[in-house]
Amino acid sequence: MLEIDNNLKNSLKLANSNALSDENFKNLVQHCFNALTKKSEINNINSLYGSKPDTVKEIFASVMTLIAQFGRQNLDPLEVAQFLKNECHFNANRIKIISELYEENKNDLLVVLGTIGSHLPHITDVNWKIDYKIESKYLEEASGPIFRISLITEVFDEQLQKPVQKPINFTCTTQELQDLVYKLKDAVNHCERIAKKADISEPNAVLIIRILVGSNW
Amino acid sequence: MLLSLNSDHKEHLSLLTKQPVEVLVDFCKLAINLIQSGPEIKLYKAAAQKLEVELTVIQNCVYGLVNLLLQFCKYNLNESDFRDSVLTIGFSSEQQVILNKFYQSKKKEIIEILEKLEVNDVHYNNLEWRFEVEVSSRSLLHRADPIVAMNLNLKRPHNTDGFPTVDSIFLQTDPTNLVHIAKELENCLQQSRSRHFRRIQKGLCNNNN
Repeated sequence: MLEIDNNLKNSLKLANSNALSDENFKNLVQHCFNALTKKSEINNINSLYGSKPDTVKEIFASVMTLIAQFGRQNLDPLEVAQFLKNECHFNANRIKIISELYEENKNDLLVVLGTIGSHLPHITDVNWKIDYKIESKYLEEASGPIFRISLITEVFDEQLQKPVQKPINFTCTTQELQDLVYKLKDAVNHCERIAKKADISEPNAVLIIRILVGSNW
Repeated sequence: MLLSLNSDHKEHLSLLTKQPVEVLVDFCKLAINLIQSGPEIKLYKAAAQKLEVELTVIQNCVYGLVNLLLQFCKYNLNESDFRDSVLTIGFSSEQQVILNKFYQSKKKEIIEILEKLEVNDVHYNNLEWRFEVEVSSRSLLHRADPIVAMNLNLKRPHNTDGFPTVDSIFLQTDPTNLVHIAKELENCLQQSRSRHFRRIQKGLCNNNN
């Protein structure tokens, strides 16, 4: 179960106070979700709410931390409401504001949280073209097709702080391409088999199967 | 087509045209030796003493023979063109039979070597994969994302030292993209068997001859 430290609890007391009206609070929570799901940059909170800049900033930071924790633990909106009531003693209005917006944004939030971390370059597409060798310095004879393959991968660029596409280029003869296709199809078949035999009583297995089935197998 | 040699090359081979068949067989062996393991001066010295000529004459002769073989392979001469070319250089019909055997036995190997000398492309070498499920991470404690991790081996025919090198590239993808990539590359392979491709292949090869 989710546990939060006392510092955060103290900051959250501000969020439950009358420092902000319900309408302004809703705006602020919406901003938190937008920033977390990367729909917008973190806006300058001071300019949005003229007075009490320190308080607003603290509320913003604490609510954002709390929401990230909810997502990290994969809580459902009901659990979120319960937690806000029992642990943070939020009033009904604020609980409603947070849990409703959480429900709305949960999927996007989980996607963003899922992409954080170290991953190998992720293949997202492939380009290909076929050349035909006519003659060269060493051989006058035409000797068959040459396949130019470019795997498009996505990697996170540390400097730009965003994912960038990077191609991996190589060449295949007919035999080499046959080998590559054979191995890729082998991998596809194995994934399919795993999806079939996975234990359906296990909730995580169901999730995996849903993803595998979603890819048109 | 008839292969024409330059005058130096002809002169270097002239020693052989005057020799009996057995000597030609020995020279063919020397030539094979040169291709496979480089020059062996000791053997050339022995041959020079036996035939009572300078060492350089023997060396030029062996190199000339190898060069002749490379030229034949480059133009991929058929049997009748080969015969005509060899007879024009000045070899006898018996010698031609020996040379033809020599050419036929080494042709495939030499063409393979010549193909590797071409533009130094990075080629696909091997692919290893394994199926993983990402279960948990710092930012998301409960997750279940299927991932296919891959080790793609790419081979460069010759690096600056002249030796082939194999690079390992580690990649990953999700099942949906895996299916897409497998389908797309299979489609690529299909295209190389299409009628359009065959027609172009046929047209180009006819122009060539």
